[in-house]
Amino acid sequence: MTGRRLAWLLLAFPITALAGCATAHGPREGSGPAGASSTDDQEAARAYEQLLSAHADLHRAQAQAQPQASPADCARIGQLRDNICALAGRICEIADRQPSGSTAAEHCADGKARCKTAIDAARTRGCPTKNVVPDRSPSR
Amino acid sequence: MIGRALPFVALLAALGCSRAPAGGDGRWIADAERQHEIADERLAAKDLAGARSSLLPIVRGEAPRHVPPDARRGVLQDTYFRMAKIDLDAGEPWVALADAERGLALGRAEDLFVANLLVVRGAAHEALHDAEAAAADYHAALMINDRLLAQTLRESPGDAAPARGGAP
Repeated sequence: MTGRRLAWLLLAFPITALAGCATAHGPREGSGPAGASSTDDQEAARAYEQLLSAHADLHRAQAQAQPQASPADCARIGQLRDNICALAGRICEIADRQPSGSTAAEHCADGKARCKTAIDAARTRGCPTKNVVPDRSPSR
Repeated sequence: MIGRALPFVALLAALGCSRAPAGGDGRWIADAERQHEIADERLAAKDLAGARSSLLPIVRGEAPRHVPPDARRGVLQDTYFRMAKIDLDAGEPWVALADAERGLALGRAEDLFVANLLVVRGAAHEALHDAEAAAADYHAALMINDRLLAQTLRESPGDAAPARGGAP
Protein backbone atom coordinates (compact mmCIF):
# COMPACT_ATOMS: atom_id res chain seq x y z
CA MET A 1 0.00 0.00 0.00
CA THR A 2 2.73 2.42 0.99
CA GLY A 3 4.70 1.40 -2.05
CA ARG A 4 1.77 2.06 -4.33
CA ARG A 5 1.09 5.44 -2.78
CA LEU A 6 4.74 6.32 -3.14
CA ALA A 7 4.63 5.28 -6.80
CA TRP A 8 1.69 7.60 -7.36
CA LEU A 9 3.48 10.46 -5.67
CA LEU A 10 6.61 9.84 -7.68
CA LEU A 11 4.59 9.76 -10.87
CA ALA A 12 2.43 12.71 -9.97
CA PHE A 13 5.37 15.00 -9.34
CA PRO A 14 7.08 14.76 -12.72
CA ILE A 15 3.75 15.00 -14.53
CA THR A 16 2.91 18.17 -12.67
CA ALA A 17 6.41 19.49 -13.13
CA LEU A 18 6.38 18.65 -16.82
CA ALA A 19 2.96 20.17 -17.27
CA GLY A 20 4.29 23.32 -15.68
CA CYS A 21 7.32 23.27 -17.97
CA ALA A 22 5.12 22.74 -21.01
CA THR A 23 3.17 25.83 -20.10
CA ALA A 24 6.24 27.83 -19.32
CA HIS A 25 8.04 26.78 -22.47
CA GLY A 26 5.09 26.88 -24.82
CA PRO A 27 5.51 28.51 -28.21
CA ARG A 28 6.34 32.14 -27.74
CA GLU A 29 6.99 34.49 -30.57
CA GLY A 30 10.37 36.13 -30.63
CA SER A 31 11.86 34.05 -27.84
CA GLY A 32 15.18 32.86 -29.18
CA PRO A 33 16.07 30.84 -32.27
CA ALA A 34 12.88 29.46 -33.74
CA GLY A 35 14.39 26.13 -34.87
CA ALA A 36 16.01 25.21 -31.55
CA SER A 37 12.96 26.18 -29.53
CA SER A 38 10.66 24.18 -31.75
CA THR A 39 12.83 21.05 -31.49
CA ASP A 40 13.03 21.33 -27.72
CA ASP A 41 9.31 21.80 -27.50
CA GLN A 42 8.65 18.78 -29.67
CA GLU A 43 10.95 16.61 -27.61
CA ALA A 44 9.39 17.82 -24.40
CA ALA A 45 5.93 17.17 -25.80
CA ARG A 46 6.95 13.66 -26.87
CA ALA A 47 8.43 12.94 -23.46
CA TYR A 48 5.31 14.24 -21.82
CA GLU A 49 3.08 12.04 -24.01
CA GLN A 50 5.25 9.01 -23.19
CA LEU A 51 5.01 9.77 -19.50
CA LEU A 52 1.24 10.15 -19.68
CA SER A 53 1.02 6.86 -21.53
CA ALA A 54 3.21 5.11 -18.94
CA HIS A 55 1.08 6.62 -16.21
CA ALA A 56 -2.10 5.29 -17.83
CA ASP A 57 -0.51 1.85 -18.27
CA LEU A 58 0.46 1.73 -14.62
CA HIS A 59 -3.04 2.79 -13.59
CA ARG A 60 -4.58 0.01 -15.69
CA ALA A 61 -2.14 -2.57 -14.34
CA GLN A 62 -2.86 -1.57 -10.76
CA ALA A 63 -6.61 -1.78 -11.33
CA GLN A 64 -6.22 -5.27 -12.79
CA ALA A 65 -3.90 -6.40 -10.01
CA GLN A 66 -6.16 -5.22 -7.17
CA PRO A 67 -7.28 -8.35 -5.32
CA GLN A 68 -11.03 -8.61 -5.00
CA ALA A 69 -12.74 -9.35 -1.72
CA SER A 70 -14.55 -12.65 -1.28
CA PRO A 71 -18.37 -12.63 -1.30
CA ALA A 72 -18.33 -13.15 2.47
CA ASP A 73 -15.98 -10.21 2.99
CA CYS A 74 -18.05 -8.12 0.60
CA ALA A 75 -21.19 -8.86 2.58
CA ARG A 76 -19.55 -7.57 5.74
CA ILE A 77 -17.85 -4.65 4.01
CA GLY A 78 -21.13 -3.68 2.36
CA GLN A 79 -23.07 -3.93 5.62
CA LEU A 80 -20.56 -1.80 7.51
CA ARG A 81 -20.43 0.74 4.65
CA ASP A 82 -24.23 0.95 4.65
CA ASN A 83 -24.32 1.37 8.44
CA ILE A 84 -21.75 4.19 8.23
CA CYS A 85 -23.63 5.97 5.47
CA ALA A 86 -27.05 5.53 7.05
CA LEU A 87 -25.77 6.91 10.35
CA ALA A 88 -24.08 9.81 8.56
CA GLY A 89 -27.36 10.59 6.82
CA ARG A 90 -29.24 10.53 10.09
CA ILE A 91 -26.69 12.79 11.79
CA CYS A 92 -26.88 15.26 8.91
CA GLU A 93 -30.68 15.36 9.15
CA ILE A 94 -30.29 16.34 12.80
CA ALA A 95 -27.55 18.87 11.95
CA ASP A 96 -29.85 20.52 9.42
CA ARG A 97 -32.18 21.45 12.25
CA GLN A 98 -29.43 22.79 14.52
CA PRO A 99 -27.87 26.26 14.63
CA SER A 100 -24.68 26.69 12.61
CA GLY A 101 -21.48 25.55 14.29
CA SER A 102 -23.24 22.84 16.27
CA THR A 103 -21.44 19.67 17.27
CA ALA A 104 -23.96 17.81 15.12
CA ALA A 105 -22.71 19.74 12.07
CA GLU A 106 -19.14 18.62 12.82
CA HIS A 107 -20.32 15.03 13.22
CA CYS A 108 -22.21 15.37 9.92
CA ALA A 109 -19.13 16.54 8.01
CA ASP A 110 -17.00 13.79 9.53
CA GLY A 111 -19.66 11.14 8.89
CA LYS A 112 -20.06 12.16 5.25
CA ALA A 113 -16.30 11.93 4.70
CA ARG A 114 -16.19 8.49 6.30
CA CYS A 115 -19.15 7.36 4.22
CA LYS A 116 -17.38 8.38 1.01
CA THR A 117 -14.19 6.65 2.12
CA ALA A 118 -16.16 3.49 2.94
CA ILE A 119 -17.82 3.56 -0.49
CA ASP A 120 -14.43 3.97 -2.17
CA ALA A 121 -12.93 1.14 -0.10
CA ALA A 122 -15.79 -1.19 -1.00
CA ARG A 123 -15.55 -0.24 -4.68
CA THR A 124 -11.78 -0.80 -4.71
CA ARG A 125 -12.39 -4.32 -3.41
CA GLY A 126 -14.89 -5.01 -6.18
CA CYS A 127 -17.84 -5.16 -3.78
CA PRO A 128 -21.27 -4.29 -5.19
CA THR A 129 -21.83 -0.55 -5.08
CA LYS A 130 -24.74 1.20 -3.57
CA ASN A 131 -25.48 4.88 -3.78
CA VAL A 132 -25.66 5.71 -0.13
CA VAL A 133 -23.68 8.94 0.07
CA PRO A 134 -25.70 11.28 2.23
CA ASP A 135 -26.50 14.29 0.08
CA ARG A 136 -27.58 16.38 3.01
CA SER A 137 -25.28 18.82 4.64
CA PRO A 138 -25.85 21.39 7.31
CA SER A 139 -27.32 24.33 5.44
CA ARG A 140 -26.63 26.87 8.15
CA MET B 1 -31.40 0.74 10.17
CA ILE B 2 -29.44 -1.81 12.12
CA GLY B 3 -31.11 -5.06 12.93
CA ARG B 4 -30.16 -7.69 15.44
CA ALA B 5 -26.47 -7.36 16.06
CA LEU B 6 -25.37 -10.95 15.67
CA PRO B 7 -27.32 -14.15 15.55
CA PHE B 8 -26.96 -16.48 18.45
CA VAL B 9 -25.40 -19.04 16.17
CA ALA B 10 -22.41 -16.73 15.96
CA LEU B 11 -22.18 -16.67 19.72
CA LEU B 12 -22.38 -20.43 19.87
CA ALA B 13 -19.69 -20.67 17.24
CA ALA B 14 -17.55 -18.23 19.21
CA LEU B 15 -17.89 -20.40 22.27
CA GLY B 16 -16.93 -23.48 20.32
CA CYS B 17 -19.32 -26.39 20.30
CA SER B 18 -16.74 -28.78 21.67
CA ARG B 19 -16.21 -26.58 24.71
CA ALA B 20 -19.91 -26.19 25.46
CA PRO B 21 -20.77 -28.64 28.19
CA ALA B 22 -24.32 -29.92 28.43
CA GLY B 23 -26.25 -27.59 30.65
CA GLY B 24 -23.41 -25.07 30.59
CA ASP B 25 -22.51 -22.20 28.29
CA GLY B 26 -24.39 -23.57 25.33
CA ARG B 27 -27.62 -24.16 27.25
CA TRP B 28 -27.76 -20.67 28.72
CA ILE B 29 -27.31 -19.19 25.25
CA ALA B 30 -29.78 -21.63 23.71
CA ASP B 31 -32.33 -20.66 26.39
CA ALA B 32 -31.80 -17.00 25.58
CA GLU B 33 -32.22 -17.75 21.89
CA ARG B 34 -35.54 -19.45 22.63
CA GLN B 35 -36.73 -16.38 24.52
CA HIS B 36 -35.78 -14.22 21.53
CA GLU B 37 -37.75 -16.51 19.25
CA ILE B 38 -40.79 -16.11 21.49
CA ALA B 39 -40.26 -12.33 21.30
CA ASP B 40 -40.18 -12.61 17.50
CA GLU B 41 -43.53 -14.42 17.55
CA ARG B 42 -45.06 -11.82 19.87
CA LEU B 43 -43.77 -9.00 17.70
CA ALA B 44 -45.23 -10.67 14.61
CA ALA B 45 -48.56 -10.63 16.44
CA LYS B 46 -48.05 -6.91 17.29
CA ASP B 47 -47.84 -7.81 20.97
CA LEU B 48 -45.10 -5.41 22.10
CA ALA B 49 -45.70 -5.95 25.82
CA GLY B 50 -45.61 -9.72 25.37
CA ALA B 51 -42.39 -9.48 23.38
CA ARG B 52 -40.74 -7.39 26.05
CA SER B 53 -41.92 -9.75 28.80
CA SER B 54 -40.43 -12.72 27.01
CA LEU B 55 -37.01 -11.02 27.00
CA LEU B 56 -37.03 -10.00 30.67
CA PRO B 57 -35.99 -13.41 32.09
CA ILE B 58 -32.73 -13.19 30.14
CA VAL B 59 -31.61 -9.99 31.81
CA ARG B 60 -33.08 -10.86 35.21
CA GLY B 61 -31.52 -14.29 35.44
CA GLU B 62 -27.96 -15.07 36.42
CA ALA B 63 -25.65 -16.26 33.68
CA PRO B 64 -23.69 -19.39 34.67
CA ARG B 65 -20.28 -18.48 36.01
CA HIS B 66 -18.42 -20.42 33.35
CA VAL B 67 -19.97 -18.47 30.46
CA PRO B 68 -17.16 -16.43 28.91
CA PRO B 69 -17.55 -12.73 29.77
CA ASP B 70 -17.76 -11.64 26.12
CA ALA B 71 -20.49 -14.17 25.33
CA ARG B 72 -22.44 -13.11 28.41
CA ARG B 73 -22.07 -9.45 27.50
CA GLY B 74 -23.11 -10.13 23.90
CA VAL B 75 -26.30 -11.98 24.89
CA LEU B 76 -27.28 -9.38 27.47
CA GLN B 77 -26.47 -6.37 25.29
CA ASP B 78 -28.38 -7.84 22.36
CA THR B 79 -31.34 -8.40 24.68
CA TYR B 80 -31.21 -4.84 26.09
CA PHE B 81 -31.00 -3.56 22.52
CA ARG B 82 -34.16 -5.40 21.55
CA MET B 83 -35.98 -4.31 24.71
CA ALA B 84 -35.03 -0.68 24.05
CA LYS B 85 -36.22 -0.94 20.47
CA ILE B 86 -39.54 -2.37 21.63
CA ASP B 87 -39.81 0.47 24.18
CA LEU B 88 -39.28 2.98 21.38
CA ASP B 89 -41.91 1.31 19.21
CA ALA B 90 -44.25 1.39 22.19
CA GLY B 91 -43.75 5.17 22.50
CA GLU B 92 -41.74 4.98 25.72
CA PRO B 93 -38.38 6.58 24.88
CA TRP B 94 -37.43 7.20 28.49
CA VAL B 95 -37.73 3.46 29.19
CA ALA B 96 -35.73 2.78 26.02
CA LEU B 97 -33.05 5.16 27.26
CA ALA B 98 -32.82 3.33 30.57
CA ASP B 99 -32.59 -0.07 28.85
CA ALA B 100 -29.90 1.15 26.46
CA GLU B 101 -27.88 2.54 29.34
CA ARG B 102 -28.15 -0.72 31.29
CA GLY B 103 -26.83 -2.49 28.23
CA LEU B 104 -23.97 -0.05 27.70
CA ALA B 105 -23.02 -0.32 31.37
CA LEU B 106 -22.06 -3.94 30.70
CA GLY B 107 -19.05 -2.89 28.62
CA ARG B 108 -18.01 -0.71 25.71
CA ALA B 109 -16.28 -3.10 23.37
CA GLU B 110 -15.75 -2.06 19.76
CA ASP B 111 -18.42 -4.32 18.34
CA LEU B 112 -21.88 -4.22 16.82
CA PHE B 113 -23.59 -5.02 20.12
CA VAL B 114 -22.36 -1.72 21.52
CA ALA B 115 -22.95 0.10 18.22
CA ASN B 116 -26.58 -1.08 18.19
CA LEU B 117 -27.10 0.10 21.76
CA LEU B 118 -25.66 3.49 20.84
CA VAL B 119 -28.01 3.72 17.87
CA VAL B 120 -31.07 2.86 19.92
CA ARG B 121 -30.00 5.26 22.69
CA GLY B 122 -29.53 7.94 20.01
CA ALA B 123 -33.05 7.27 18.77
CA ALA B 124 -34.35 7.59 22.34
CA HIS B 125 -32.55 10.93 22.72
CA GLU B 126 -34.05 12.04 19.43
CA ALA B 127 -37.53 11.10 20.59
CA LEU B 128 -36.88 13.07 23.76
CA HIS B 129 -35.82 16.11 21.65
CA ASP B 130 -32.17 16.00 22.70
CA ALA B 131 -30.71 16.39 19.22
CA GLU B 132 -27.08 16.93 20.19
CA ALA B 133 -27.02 13.81 22.39
CA ALA B 134 -28.66 11.85 19.58
CA ALA B 135 -26.06 13.02 17.05
CA ALA B 136 -23.24 12.19 19.48
CA ASP B 137 -24.54 8.64 19.99
CA TYR B 138 -25.06 8.08 16.26
CA HIS B 139 -21.56 9.35 15.60
CA ALA B 140 -20.07 7.05 18.25
CA ALA B 141 -21.88 4.13 16.58
CA LEU B 142 -20.60 5.29 13.18
CA MET B 143 -17.04 5.33 14.51
CA ILE B 144 -17.35 1.73 15.72
CA ASN B 145 -18.62 0.68 12.29
CA ASP B 146 -15.76 2.59 10.68
CA ARG B 147 -13.16 0.84 12.81
CA LEU B 148 -14.76 -2.54 12.14
CA LEU B 149 -14.64 -1.77 8.41
CA ALA B 150 -10.95 -0.85 8.63
CA GLN B 151 -10.32 -4.11 10.50
CA THR B 152 -12.25 -6.12 7.90
CA LEU B 153 -10.29 -4.48 5.08
CA ARG B 154 -7.02 -5.24 6.83
CA GLU B 155 -7.95 -8.87 7.35
CA SER B 156 -9.39 -9.52 3.89
CA PRO B 157 -6.93 -10.32 1.09
CA GLY B 158 -5.61 -7.40 -0.89
CA ASP B 159 -4.11 -4.08 -0.24
CA ALA B 160 -6.94 -1.61 -0.53
CA ALA B 161 -6.73 1.79 1.06
CA PRO B 162 -8.05 1.50 4.60
CA ALA B 163 -11.14 3.26 5.74
CA ARG B 164 -10.43 6.32 7.83
CA GLY B 165 -10.14 5.96 11.52
CA GLY B 166 -9.28 2.38 12.10
CA ALA B 167 -6.22 1.42 10.20
CA PRO B 168 -2.84 2.32 11.65
